[in-house]
Amino acid sequence: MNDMSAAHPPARAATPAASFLRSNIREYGMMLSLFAIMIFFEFMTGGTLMKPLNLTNLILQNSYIVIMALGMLLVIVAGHIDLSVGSVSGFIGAMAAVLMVRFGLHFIPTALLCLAAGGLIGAMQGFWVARFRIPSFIVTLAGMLVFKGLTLALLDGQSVGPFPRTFQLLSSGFIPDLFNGASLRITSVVLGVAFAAVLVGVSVAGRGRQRRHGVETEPLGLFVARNAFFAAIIVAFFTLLATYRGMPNVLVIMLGLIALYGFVTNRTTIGRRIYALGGNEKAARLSGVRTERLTFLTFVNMGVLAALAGLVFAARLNTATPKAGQGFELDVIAACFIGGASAYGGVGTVIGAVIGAFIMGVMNNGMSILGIGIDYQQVIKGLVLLAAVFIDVYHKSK
Amino acid sequence: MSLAESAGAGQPVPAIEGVGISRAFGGVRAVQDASFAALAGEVHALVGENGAGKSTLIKILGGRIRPDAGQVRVRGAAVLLNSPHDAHRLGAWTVFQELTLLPAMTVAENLLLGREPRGRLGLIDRRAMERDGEAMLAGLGIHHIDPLALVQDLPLAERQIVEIVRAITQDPSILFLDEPTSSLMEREVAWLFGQIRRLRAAGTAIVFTSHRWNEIVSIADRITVCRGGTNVGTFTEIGEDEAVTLMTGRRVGSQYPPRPPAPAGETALAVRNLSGEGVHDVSLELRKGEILGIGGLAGHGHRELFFMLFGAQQPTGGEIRLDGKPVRIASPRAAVRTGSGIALVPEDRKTEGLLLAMSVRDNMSLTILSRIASVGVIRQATEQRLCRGIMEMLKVRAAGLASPVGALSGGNQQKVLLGRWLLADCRTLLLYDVTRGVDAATKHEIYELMTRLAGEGRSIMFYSSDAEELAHQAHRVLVLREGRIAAELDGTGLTAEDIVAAAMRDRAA
Repeated sequence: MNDMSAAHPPARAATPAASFLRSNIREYGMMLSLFAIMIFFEFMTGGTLMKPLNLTNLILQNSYIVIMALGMLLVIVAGHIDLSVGSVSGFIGAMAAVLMVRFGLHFIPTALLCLAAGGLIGAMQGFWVARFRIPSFIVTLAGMLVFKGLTLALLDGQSVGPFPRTFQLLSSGFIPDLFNGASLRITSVVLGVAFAAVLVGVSVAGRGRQRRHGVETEPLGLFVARNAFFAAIIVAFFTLLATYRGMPNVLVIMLGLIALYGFVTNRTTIGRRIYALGGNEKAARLSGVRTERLTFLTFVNMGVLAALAGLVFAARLNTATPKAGQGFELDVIAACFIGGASAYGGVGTVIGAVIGAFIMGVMNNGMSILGIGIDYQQVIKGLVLLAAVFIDVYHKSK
Repeated sequence: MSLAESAGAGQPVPAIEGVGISRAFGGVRAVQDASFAALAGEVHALVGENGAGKSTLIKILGGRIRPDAGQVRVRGAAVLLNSPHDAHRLGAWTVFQELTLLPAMTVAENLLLGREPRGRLGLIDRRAMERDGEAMLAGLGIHHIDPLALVQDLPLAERQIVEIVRAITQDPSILFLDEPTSSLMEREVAWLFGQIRRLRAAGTAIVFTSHRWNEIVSIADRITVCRGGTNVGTFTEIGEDEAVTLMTGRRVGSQYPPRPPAPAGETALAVRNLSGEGVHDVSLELRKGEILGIGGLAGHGHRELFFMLFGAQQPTGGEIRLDGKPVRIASPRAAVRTGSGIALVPEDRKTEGLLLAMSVRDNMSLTILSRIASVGVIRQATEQRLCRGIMEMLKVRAAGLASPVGALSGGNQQKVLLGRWLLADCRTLLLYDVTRGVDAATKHEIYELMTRLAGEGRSIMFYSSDAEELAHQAHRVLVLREGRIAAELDGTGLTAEDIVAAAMRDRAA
């Protein structure tokens, strides 16, 4: 009984596609869960979920959560947590409002100042975590209270708005259509096709590289089917958006950031080192990684992204309110964990966090359409979070 | 060579007995088919090198860990010990090597943990607790420890005494002491031995381990020698030389590759009067192409010395020179980036070396990432090529570069760590117990690798808990004792016995 290897039955002979699917179920699993949830709500809402107007709303409503989830993923992978992001984004929104509405500053210098302030806030919190090794949970809990208070102080407890039209476009604007399509924004369709083509290109190149290095790749049939499927989904999605008002500006920002952070985590030295730091801090330090500096930088990055999210949210509401941003941190953190990040650090993917954010977003949206009260929405979201992490843990322990 | 068991037929039933005990951690067999028995009213010493299985055996008999196989019997009856609590109920108490006191509680609270005096309503009577704590200490002749002091404020020796007091005030019928004297001064050892004699007279079975031979002979009624996870003999009388021979065993020398001639080359690393936590006034020189062995018992400053040379711990005094130039090694990163590159394969590869969830490739390339990247983007083809080369050179047995390191065997994990430093082209290698928990075949490969690397002119500083290995692999061996260099031994004709004897010899005057 002590020899574990002897207890394993011999590997069952299976088709290559089935065995590949089994060993990579995690990556497909999340994507499939998202589709399943979407189809479920599409059915339950009688087709309202996938209406072009609602799809556009879905993106606008979740953009700031997705943006922050990208930063949070790095923080969590590095073995930390940031509870302050909601308050920080609210504070930055307030700061932008004061600068633009009270002082009449143009929106470009305002945005730059706000992003810098976000970075500074992240730096201050990262300093305590990295330099003095105060648990990030405590530092950012303090930050959450501090910036919630400062938001109130900055706004004198009142809402400040409206914003200049140019700033609002950040959230409520759509990319201009070069073809003047009235019922179908052709530019958005073209961009969708281009986007799908780029994704397919990247995955073909990746497959080629893997094959050259002798890494096991998925069977060709599965590969083609998967890429065709996703390309079709993307094109369909963009076409749906195009029948409403086209591609929202914020979607452009979001896709750009997702691509950037996906690249950083997979291909760059800093990304690799963050995984090493979170996987085993002591080993990383003894391998010559500057762990303190890296921890600090992940918090600076989180601060900048929280600031960007704050701007997007303020622009969407067209006003800065003292309550803005409250509770966002919970959705952001939940998105990362639903997306497969480990609370112990070292594990998690950008695409997982994005899917996690949309799973939460689709559920919010779908349940609202169905008229489920905010009370039971929270109960259900809580249970889904627990279930998602349980499935993950169970899958790993097998 | 009298392997005579002291008791013949009609022997008394042992107070505690382990029969055919085995226990493995991961792939490492810590204890293998070991048998051991202690009688009521005897002091029984367990001796052996580090890693011989003494501590594991005591943990099993004390209920702290469960054996994979074998049986524990208390007063003749087979028992299942699932926790220390089970052992306590049978009267078996243990003073473990790593202290188990609660640091943020007072001495009295620790002494009375689980048997607090109760007042009205069943609440803890704090005043009675202080009084009882003080009485316990005083009853055993200890007056210098304040029962109200927090344990975390006590020096190590006093903490050890509190730990011992806690066990012996339970009136144990079986008492295990795992290296109780390692942190005690002479006077405190005398006190402890007084207590042991008192308990023995009262019929307690006492099992203890120590690396100090004169202590062993002064108190033990019987001595059991362990080697490689099993007991190799029990004696009422045995000489130190004979015991050391048994402890090190007669291992076949041919598993070691022939040692290259000792280099007369220039000095790569020179250390003058290095001091700091755990290290006192250490001076040494490491030549290019030399394998310098560092021997001695665990906990005598080896780890600290290696960490200081690697920048993971800062010395408080002394000088380190690399290729003749004085250097300050502020961090491991600085160590790797010094002119010739200093590398450390640490003691515990799982917690200090490897990223278990990451791939073989990620683990190997971690230190050289900036060298194989353009503007921060890793050149994957280069990385793949370099790692594959090292993997083939070291014959790492893994499904591929993408396999997670955690799935590899101990020996292959160690190769991945070595590979990391070879990729970084470090010329000075600090290898800390690099063959611990590694199978025999891989050990041999590591020996050959060391020999080859030294032949290329790299310098190797090599600590091992296995004296045999040092005797065969090193050109020179320095023996550390209490953080100082106690002996320098030339490698030619060196035996494991010489090293162990030097490590256990009590301070000359």
